[in-house]
Amino acid sequence: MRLYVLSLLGDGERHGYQIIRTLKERIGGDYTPSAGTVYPRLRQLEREGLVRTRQEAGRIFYRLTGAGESALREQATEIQELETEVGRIAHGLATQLKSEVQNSARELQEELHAQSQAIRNREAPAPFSGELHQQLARFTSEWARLVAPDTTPATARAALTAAMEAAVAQLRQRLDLPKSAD
Amino acid sequence: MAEWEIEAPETIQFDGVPSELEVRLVAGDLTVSASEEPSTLEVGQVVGPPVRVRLEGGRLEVIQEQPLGWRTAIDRVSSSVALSVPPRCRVHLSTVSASVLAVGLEAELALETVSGEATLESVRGPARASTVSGAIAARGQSGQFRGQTVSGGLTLDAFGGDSVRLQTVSGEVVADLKQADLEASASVETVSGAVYLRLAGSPSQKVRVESVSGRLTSAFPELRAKSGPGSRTLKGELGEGRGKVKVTTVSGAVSLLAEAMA
Repeated sequence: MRLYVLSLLGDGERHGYQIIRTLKERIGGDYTPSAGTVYPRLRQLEREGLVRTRQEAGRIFYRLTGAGESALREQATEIQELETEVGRIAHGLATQLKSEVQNSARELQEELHAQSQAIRNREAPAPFSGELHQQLARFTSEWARLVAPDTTPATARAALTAAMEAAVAQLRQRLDLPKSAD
Repeated sequence: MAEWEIEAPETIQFDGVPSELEVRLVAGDLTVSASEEPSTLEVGQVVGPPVRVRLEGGRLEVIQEQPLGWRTAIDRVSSSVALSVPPRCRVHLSTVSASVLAVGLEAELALETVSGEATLESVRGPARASTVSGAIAARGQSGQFRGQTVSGGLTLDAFGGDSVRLQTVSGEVVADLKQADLEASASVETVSGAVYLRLAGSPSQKVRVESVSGRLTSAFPELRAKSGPGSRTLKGELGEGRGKVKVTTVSGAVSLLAEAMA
């Protein structure tokens, strides 16, 4: 995918939609590159300094940098081979193709992990407000002080624990939660 | 009928046209690619018994067998094999640990390996790949696909076929389904393996995701999540509900994702 995009940009500046359409025509078959796969690749190439962007009339145009052009020249043979032949045997090519597919697989794994994580982050419950957090902290340290093993006999500790459980039960009731914890 | 015994690097160009290919190897690496050129076999290094090759009628066999005997655990059996066959050749590949690369095939492909890594590129025909611990990675697969592993990962990049079934115990499933807006069907079953499914375009699927304890994450507000003791589900209909997406796990987390708009 990287090589195709690089080689397309070698023909000149393009904007995103043009790239996607041309890729589909070039690769053909049932492979339909989508915005979701092409734009991250473009961003990656930009991060690597191989591609530069420019904005005009609300559209982003992509072009190769000097480094991008060198990379393209270096990989020109690789691109030709990928484009024309799916049936060449040479072991070197097979290893290259295998690692290319494996790299694509890894990239897809990372992309989907990240997408999933982004959704989960949005679903995460909001943290406590500052004041409530402070009250909890004060409560916890006071409690810990009162229930310290060396100053409190076992019977008193049992009474304190029972009081704590009663407080939690009351809180559950106020919040309309079921009686027992999951 | 033609037969060969290969012990050293050699390339054979076949006179006949194979319509069926059977390869059985132990260790090393195997590449099978589709080509309209005359079929060839290229054998690199051979360690252990010779690789036996036989072409009879349209059936081509390439076999390096592990001899049984008291030295089985000591002697290495390995070879580096690359084959090119016609795109419509039916292919059956079986290895113990040799990695397998299959490219461009258009008829049935059956691939089995115990621990080898299986890589498929632009395979158009119906394909089935099974491993125990080897990972399976398929890119641009456009035929029906069935993948099974015990612990190997299953990754489908740009899957354009209309039916896929993936089963694993603990492997991670990652699949990008490109034909989600048609009648594509996907069925995924894992025990503890996590599942990441991206439905491209405007998906049109009846969805049913079930897990005992796995966390369910969805990018689709149309799907309803329900959670109870011992069962979590995510169900609903996307688009016109023409295809079917069914995911079942015991503890594996499931994420149903959509394509990110740039």
